[in-house]
Amino acid sequence: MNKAGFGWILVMAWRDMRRAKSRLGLFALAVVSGVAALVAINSFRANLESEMDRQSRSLLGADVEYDANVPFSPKVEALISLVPAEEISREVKFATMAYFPTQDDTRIVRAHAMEGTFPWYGKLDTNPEGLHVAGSSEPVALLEDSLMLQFDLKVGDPVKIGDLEFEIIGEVLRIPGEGSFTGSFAPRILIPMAFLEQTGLTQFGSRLHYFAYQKFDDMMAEPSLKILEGLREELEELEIDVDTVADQRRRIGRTLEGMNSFLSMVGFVALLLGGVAIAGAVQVYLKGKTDAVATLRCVGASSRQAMLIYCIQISLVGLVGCLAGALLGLAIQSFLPELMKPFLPLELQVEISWSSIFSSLLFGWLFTSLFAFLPLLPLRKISPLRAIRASVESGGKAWKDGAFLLVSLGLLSLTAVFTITQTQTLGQALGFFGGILAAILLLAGIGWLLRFVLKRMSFAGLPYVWRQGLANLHRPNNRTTMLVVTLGMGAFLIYTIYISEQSMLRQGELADDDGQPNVILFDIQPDQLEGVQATIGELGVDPGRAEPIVTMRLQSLNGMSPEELKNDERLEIENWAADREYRSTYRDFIREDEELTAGSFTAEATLDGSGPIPVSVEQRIVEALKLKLGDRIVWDVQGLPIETEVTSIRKVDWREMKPNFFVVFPSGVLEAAPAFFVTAVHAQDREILVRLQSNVVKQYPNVSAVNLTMILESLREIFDKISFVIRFMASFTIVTGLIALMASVITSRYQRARESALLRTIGASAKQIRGIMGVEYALVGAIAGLAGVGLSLASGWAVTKYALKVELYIPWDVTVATVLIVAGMTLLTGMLNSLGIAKQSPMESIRSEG
Amino acid sequence: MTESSSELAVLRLSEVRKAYHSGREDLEVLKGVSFDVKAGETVSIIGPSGSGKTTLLGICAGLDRPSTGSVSLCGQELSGLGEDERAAIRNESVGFVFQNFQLIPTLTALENVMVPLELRGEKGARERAKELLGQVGLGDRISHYPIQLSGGEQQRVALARAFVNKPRILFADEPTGNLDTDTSEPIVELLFGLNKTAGTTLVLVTHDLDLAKTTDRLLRIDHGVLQEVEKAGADE
Ligand SMILES: Nc1ncnc2c1ncn2[C@@H]1O[C@H](COP(=O)(O)OP(=O)(O)OP(=O)(O)O)[C@@H](O)[C@H]1O
Ligand SMILES: [Mg+2]
Repeated sequence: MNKAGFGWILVMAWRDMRRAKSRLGLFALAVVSGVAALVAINSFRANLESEMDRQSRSLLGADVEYDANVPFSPKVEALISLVPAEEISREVKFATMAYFPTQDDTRIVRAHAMEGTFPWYGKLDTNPEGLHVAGSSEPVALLEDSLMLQFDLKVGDPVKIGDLEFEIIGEVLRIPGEGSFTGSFAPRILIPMAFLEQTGLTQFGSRLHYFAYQKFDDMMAEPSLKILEGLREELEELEIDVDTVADQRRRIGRTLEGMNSFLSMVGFVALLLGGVAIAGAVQVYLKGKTDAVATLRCVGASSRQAMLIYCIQISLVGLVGCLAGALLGLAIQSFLPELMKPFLPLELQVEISWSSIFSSLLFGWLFTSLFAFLPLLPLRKISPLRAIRASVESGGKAWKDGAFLLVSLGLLSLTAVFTITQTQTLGQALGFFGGILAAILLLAGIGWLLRFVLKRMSFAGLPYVWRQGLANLHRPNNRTTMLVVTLGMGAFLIYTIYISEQSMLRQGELADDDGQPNVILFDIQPDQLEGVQATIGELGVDPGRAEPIVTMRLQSLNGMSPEELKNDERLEIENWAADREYRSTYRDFIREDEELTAGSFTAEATLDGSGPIPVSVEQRIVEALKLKLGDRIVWDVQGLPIETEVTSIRKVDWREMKPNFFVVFPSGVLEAAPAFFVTAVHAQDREILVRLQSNVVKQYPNVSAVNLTMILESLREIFDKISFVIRFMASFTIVTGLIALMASVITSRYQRARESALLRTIGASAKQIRGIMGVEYALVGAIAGLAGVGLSLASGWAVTKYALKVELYIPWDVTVATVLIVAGMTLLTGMLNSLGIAKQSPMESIRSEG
Repeated sequence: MTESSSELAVLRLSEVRKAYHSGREDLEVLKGVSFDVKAGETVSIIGPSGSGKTTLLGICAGLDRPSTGSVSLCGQELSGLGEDERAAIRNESVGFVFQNFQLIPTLTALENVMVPLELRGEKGARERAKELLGQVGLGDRISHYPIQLSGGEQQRVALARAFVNKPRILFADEPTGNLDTDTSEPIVELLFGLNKTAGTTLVLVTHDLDLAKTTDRLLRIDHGVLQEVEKAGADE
């Protein structure tokens, strides 16, 4: 060993990179956006976590919340009163129609009838500030700001709910524990509980939701909680939901965590692509260093020293990139709260979380450094013989090198650790990891295939510029595969989100089609049915056939209770299906648009105890409960158990905005059960639609008339909010792709420069040289765009089929445009960076060394 | 391990064979080469193109390993040493001059010359490098990068680098091969001048018979066999 220490290696690293600073700086840029995304998301997340911890009580507004679908029985009240509390408040929430006399228009809203001083923690945010409705002796209402805007309402205007008119006294901006997002479908209206009765809505089987809140004495909080825990089981048996601050914190945490995980995974993809890009750029960079390493080895440097020099350079470059990324991430984080506002249940102050910034930074640096070390390792194998003989190969296959395997393993485990910590379940982790890996491999395969094909094809007939441009894509040191992967990945992510969104919205759009229902009326009481249908008919609208709805719960399936079903892992029952309230109907036929897939439909039956009632179930519930023909289900129909047998399976098109049912009973069984009716009608135009809604609501205030076009608009609004956030994150991968492109253009520029100079020397014009590059970049861009968009069509298909359960809709014009945009951006970036090459004088290039 | 004559023989090869395997054919480039070079001697090796001169030089300097046979350099048997140990010997006792100069493009002339000394961890590297650059007539070009220098100037920097660590033995593979005659002459003069003042052992591979004749000994390699050419007999 020679005696040069680490200091010398540092000095050499510095000397060697002095003149390549701008080039190395560009490599650094490749990791900026990935680290920025990670830092921003993780810091935001830490911020949110700590804020939720600090304000956890305001997530509920109380210490405990009880809720049920029916008024609390005396027994429940007795149990609740056992819990020592300082105060108690009550609330009834229900969906209903609000009628705005000033506009003669209606909208479905979510009414909160409030009593008591709840919320005690957090603030009911109102405009003007400090308003409450609970204690009011006048019928007053606070309306969600979006509602005020939509119907052009001002303070003092009336709003009618049920039979009673309320006076608007202000806007409600935020309710503790709910994001503004909650009100997207049904905006909120707060009214005093004292006037609930007078709306006349409580007498109908309208779906009212009853809440009670308790505030514990500060000194007594712990014992109160203990007593509550003791009563919890008994309360839950009485169908009372008990939520403490901790429960609420967990639930909100889970939802937000899911969203944050997704976003940080997208950020991670950007980092991954940055890693791939930097590895590619480093490889080209180091190719030019082979001779220098051989010479160093000749004059006595050890292979370790030679490698360390470049190791330090690359790590330094990575560190600079990561630091810049962290700074950018900080800047981005400061407006994430604004971006995510609709989804957040609390006010978020921007705070810097140093620990999460530091850990993201460290992770990003380690990850990209490891990536960059992959092409660095072969440096150790460079023989000093190269100094005297140019042709000496650096020996050995990379994958046979232990260190290479070690670094690869390091990368894989870092990825695995990251994926597992970011996702909730191992299945999700595997799915995400496998999906990303598959996408990258596929894209790499496409890049490879492109080179393979180009290499073997003859383009003799094409003009020179074209031939040369095409050849550049497969000649040594090309960056074709890397560009196809990075740019393709960006296009893939963004476009998958786009088509999933479009498919989702598209299904709602069907409602705009001719003859399709565009208003659904529900909660029609049996004695109102005739009147409602007459009101509809007066407007020249076909009232259609109303369907009865009977609510019921699953009591047992093949003898197993919902709890047993959920707890039995082998059954793989989806929990929601075991717990939900089923809204079933009965009739003696199956509709034309329902497809019978198994068994036969029984039209009539009687409850004479001669055997189970034959019922028809829908495909989705078959999947969720793993049903088959012959299964016995006992339904709890509002207290009365009815034993049924699955005798047929139907498939309905859920995109049709018609009342669809999971379970259809034959006629002759449920007629006596309390029911309400639902009907879907088609109003010819907007004017008739508005009149229909308000005519019905004015006469039958308990009936909800939902305008599907408006639902569609809300859906679009929600999607816009979500997709903006996702697109924002996905754009980081596109930026990485473009930087990777810049880096690769700049690195290969030094190689291409000589060749261009040669071409120039033998008489090629600058225009021709630009043409060659143009062909090259446009083609790489087009292929990356095609591959990415193509993959996104496949994943879009999977997402829509399995996750969203809607039909895939592909807007072909936008698809083509996306490919063109990717190609265009690639071309532009490539050409801007190549300007220097075409301008350089041939002499300069010939003298400059690789 | 160390032989008794090692004090005198800076370089000793015995029965060195080197074969390359390419596909099915084996190409034996060196077929049992043995010779000694004593301290302070100057030796040139000549031979037709493809005869194995570069191969032999690479083996002598420990850049490559022989297929069989042994090489001892500065009293150390090379076959038992690893890559890095051989690198250390080169750093300590060997200098190189290459046909294609092999300066590191990202380092200035001065820094290129400093590298061998810095590797040794020696103080005063800068002064010594400046001094040598002065001796080769490039005292005013020390902060220039290789691409800013002509071929002849680059080779002079390479000469300065070769002598800067006061090597016991210097290997030169066609040091003027890439230069025209006018540029070659001062390089050759410098090479011999520096060599004489430093008392270095010199092994020189060249095509140039006139140049070869100026060394103490002349070896001819042909078809893998090395022969000592008597100085008198080389006068043709
Ligand atoms: N790695 C290798 N694999 C196979 N054959 C090789 C290899 N390296 C060198 N050779 C062959 O060994 C022979 C000797 O090569 P060498 O470079 O030593 O010749 P040389 O005498 O230096 O020639 P020149 O005067 O042209 O430089 C040549 O025939 C060459 O083709
Ligand atoms: Mg040679």
